[in-house]
Amino acid sequence: MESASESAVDLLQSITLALGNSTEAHCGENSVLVRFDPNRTDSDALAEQLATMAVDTAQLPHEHYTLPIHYDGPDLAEVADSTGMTVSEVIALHSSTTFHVAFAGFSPGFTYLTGLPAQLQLPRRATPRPRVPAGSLAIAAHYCAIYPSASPGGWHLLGTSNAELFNSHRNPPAMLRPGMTVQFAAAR
Amino acid sequence: MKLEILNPGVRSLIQDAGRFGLARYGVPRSGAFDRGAWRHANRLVGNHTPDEYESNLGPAAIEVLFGGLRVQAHGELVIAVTGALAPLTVLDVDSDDKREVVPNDAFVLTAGSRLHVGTTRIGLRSYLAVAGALNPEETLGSRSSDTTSGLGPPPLAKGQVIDIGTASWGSTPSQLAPPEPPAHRSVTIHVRPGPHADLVEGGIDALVGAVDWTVNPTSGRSGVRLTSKDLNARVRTTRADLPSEPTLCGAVQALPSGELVVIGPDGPTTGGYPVVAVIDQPGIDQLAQARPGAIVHLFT
Repeated sequence: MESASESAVDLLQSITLALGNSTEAHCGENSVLVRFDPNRTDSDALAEQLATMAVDTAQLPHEHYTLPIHYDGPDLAEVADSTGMTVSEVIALHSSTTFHVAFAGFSPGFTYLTGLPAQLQLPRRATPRPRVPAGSLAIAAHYCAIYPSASPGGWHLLGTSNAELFNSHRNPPAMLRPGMTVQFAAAR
Repeated sequence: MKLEILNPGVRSLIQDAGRFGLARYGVPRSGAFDRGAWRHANRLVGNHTPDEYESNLGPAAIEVLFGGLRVQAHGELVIAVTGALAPLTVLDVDSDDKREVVPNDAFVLTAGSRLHVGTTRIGLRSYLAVAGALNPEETLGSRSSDTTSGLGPPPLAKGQVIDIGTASWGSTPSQLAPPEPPAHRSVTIHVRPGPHADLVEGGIDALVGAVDWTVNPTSGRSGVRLTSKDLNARVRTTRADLPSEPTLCGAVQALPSGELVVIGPDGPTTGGYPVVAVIDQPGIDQLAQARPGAIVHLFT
């Protein structure tokens, strides 16, 4: 379903509260997908239930994390060049931003953070890297993310984090989850 | 009781019903690709299989791609093989006799005896279930091998010995209708309009009917890529730059190239291509058995 509320994350959390964990739901940037048992309900009944569901964003959990980052990424100078800023200005702007964990995708624990200032929004790199190391802090378009595991990637790498973003022995396994806010702090 | 892998064949994976409710953390559902065949194999040996919408992981079985699997029983095991059709040969340890066994029926593999799943003749994925179910360590509430993220047990390897569970979850039903046998060279699959059917020129009608779709060899558990040779039949989307949306197994994405990608069990949890159609589980089961080069027709 398309999100009529302020954010898909708020809608996802409200749906989780309304339907419980027995129903699977996850979100993208502007929409929420609910997987339901057709033996128990149907799409019309579910749509009506969700349309009348209370979305009280003040009631939703909004955990906040401050993550230490080493701003040592290989693309830092290029990003500064492309945005007409100095490297210190890029770091200052990025680390003063409050990001919202919008949705997960791509790989387990990979979360798309929104809130990247317009000055830092750049298209993806012309040539993706075959391997981006785990823990890389990266930006592209209006997103920021940390790669939880090594993978190919076309985003601009600003730095590295030591945080364990995904651990399959942890419950929940992902450290950053839709609905949270994150700020990055330059580590020394 | 244990099952030893003498030879995993092309690729053999442990699969159950998959990981429930973790898509919001970017974790695909995973689990058996052909749910019908997986369920049937488990029911034949008396393993209780949960309903598709239960959060229960269900009994783990082996998903055998294209045959070639050789196993040996440590202790007496009750086994059934379903799905893709392959010759099944038992080498009896006591008599040293070779005998053929039939698919879609349970049989006893005595301690020390071996089973060979030969090269697949029809279909692509066979399911080998053992009474009591395979019992490797769980990862995030499931024993499924996720080939994309690497979660769960790695692909089976020569010499590996897998524990068999002792839980008796059900009794062997006296009569079970076997599922439809896999189609050989062409398959007809039911689709429903997806949330972005209106972003395709001509709507869902542009995909269905007489259009010949061919299963691309790059297809796998993360997705089945369908290509049409007929340029006129190619799907043209009016937008290719959607914000990332949640997806699930069975979502049919239209690529800018005019190809379709049907998200598989190990596919990504979000995607930016228009979802022009959706395939329900029976159709996903059919796709799981469609070999590279097979012709697919879609209908509404």
